Amino acid sequence: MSENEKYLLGLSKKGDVKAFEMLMEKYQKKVFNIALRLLGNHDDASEVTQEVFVKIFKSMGSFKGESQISTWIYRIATNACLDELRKRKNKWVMSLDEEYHRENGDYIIQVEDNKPTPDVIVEQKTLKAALNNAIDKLPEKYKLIIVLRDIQGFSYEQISDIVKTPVGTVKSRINRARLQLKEIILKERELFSDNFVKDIERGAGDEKM
Amino acid sequence: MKKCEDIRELISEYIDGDMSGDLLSEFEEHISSCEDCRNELNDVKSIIAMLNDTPDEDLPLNFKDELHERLLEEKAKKKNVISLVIAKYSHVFASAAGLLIIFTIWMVYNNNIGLKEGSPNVNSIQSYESNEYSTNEFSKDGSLDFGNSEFQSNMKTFLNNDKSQADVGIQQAQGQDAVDITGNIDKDASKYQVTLGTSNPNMKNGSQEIEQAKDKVAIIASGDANTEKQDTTNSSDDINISFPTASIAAVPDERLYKSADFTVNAKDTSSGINSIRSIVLALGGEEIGVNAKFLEPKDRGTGSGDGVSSKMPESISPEADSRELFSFKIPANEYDLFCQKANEIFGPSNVIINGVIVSEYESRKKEIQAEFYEIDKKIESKAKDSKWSSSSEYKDLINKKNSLTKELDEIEAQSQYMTVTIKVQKLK
Repeated sequence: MSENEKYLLGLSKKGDVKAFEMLMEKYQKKVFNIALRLLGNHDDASEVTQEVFVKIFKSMGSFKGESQISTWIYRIATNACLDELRKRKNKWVMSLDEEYHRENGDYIIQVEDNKPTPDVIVEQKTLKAALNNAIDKLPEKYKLIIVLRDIQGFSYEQISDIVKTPVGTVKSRINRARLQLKEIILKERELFSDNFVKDIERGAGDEKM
Repeated sequence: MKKCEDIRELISEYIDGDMSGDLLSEFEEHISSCEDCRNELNDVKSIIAMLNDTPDEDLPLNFKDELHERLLEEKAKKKNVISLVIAKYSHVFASAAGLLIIFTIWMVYNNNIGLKEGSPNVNSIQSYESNEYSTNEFSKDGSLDFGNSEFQSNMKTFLNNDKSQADVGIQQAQGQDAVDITGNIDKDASKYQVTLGTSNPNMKNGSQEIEQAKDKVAIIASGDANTEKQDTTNSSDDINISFPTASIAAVPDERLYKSADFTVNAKDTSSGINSIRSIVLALGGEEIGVNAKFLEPKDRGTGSGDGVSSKMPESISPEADSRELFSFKIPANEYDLFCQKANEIFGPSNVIINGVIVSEYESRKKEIQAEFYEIDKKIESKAKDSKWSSSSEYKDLINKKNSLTKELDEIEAQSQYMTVTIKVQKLK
């Protein structure tokens, strides 16, 4: 930790709000984006991110410096997002349960779709959108690791620290996550036109919404 | 020769560039000959590329402001939660029930307050309470016997810094008969909420003992025997009272002043000085220099009015119109408390502040912080350049940081104390 950070940390522990804000400045955007990718909409991401920083502020006293402050921050952030996802999942599942049986005897199939608001649901034709929706369908652990590794660019060591899992496990998990993501996207692809295929072949970068 | 399932497991390793040697060549061999695996590899590559390409979004517009508000709220909450639990209270009953009122003040506020634990009374109270009380609000961090004077003065400091105006002059337990009452105080900006619980099942709300306990708590917390209190009891076990506090401002850890200059009118100069001395000592300050006695120029008799400084110390006769100049250092954040005490003892109209000099500590601290931030930014922006850390520019920046740190430490140390100079005059 730099001298400046140590200094701000000391003040933050004593409850100095401005010092805390300065210290947290460089982590805020990343935490927000992690939340955004995990939760799928801006309002929830903003809310959860704020909660995360308030929580960090409250528990400043317990940060002893045994780990990097960044690790600590991202850990709190990812846990908060996962908690939010689980909360949502319960709510969502309940409402689905109510409509589980339609009158004509059809079943409604439960999908692990954790977005309560169609913030990021855009036309499925665009690949990016499909990608977002696909990420959303991943199980929790895979979702997290895709977001941390492939979207946010954390190293395996960093991820290992944040989620408290050995590096080897993280690596095999990311592989499975990527493969599963691919499967999900390909399934979606079957519903679309050739655009989709062309998009994949072209790769990212050219993608325009 | 690898099978397709094995190759699947290795895809990420390959893409991440973690593969080498024999494994790498096996992998590549398989890929070149197996279309399915090749497609799979390419699909995964594309997806990753797209994920990587996802740009970070900016924080929403109101984000920082909203967060700021919430942090301030949180800070206010943190500062104001006091668990006022047990203190020794003298209370004698005629009845054979034999009750002991114990209040202990317990800090949940874990940062600034240095409380002495381990005083002889602590253990006995702790063991006493752990069996007796079902409320478990106060076991870990030290419930202290209120009679402990060190604790009292720390308590004074704490409560008074928080502008709670608590009167902590609680009397020692005198009788053997008393009642256990435990409670905690929640203090927000406008009122104290005290929750009392008692281990004595016969002690009901409305009983004389409880009423007296409430009064006592009110006095403790608000310093005013006439504070109106509302009974907000909501259950037969909880006895709640709340009462408004005097105006409370959350006082941050300020070291506003570098020095201050007072004139104090006292009935008697020497007792006035002694009073001031005892305030200073109680606040952890100390006298500077010798108590110098001064004469009014007119009392110097023949005196040479030729510009000899009137501050030359001389002995004087008691009848002379004497002034006493008295300097001392006190911890800078005790200044408010010092003023309060002086007002209490001498009366506000007799304590005159001639002037104060504001400390530059805070502003300089901010300046240094900002400089730190700039330096760190510069360092980080060039960190990727491997030659950077041996460049002279880098060394200069590091040296600059070191000297700033030193300066910060120095002014921090200096700002801990402020100098107060007082002229004590006899009240005319």
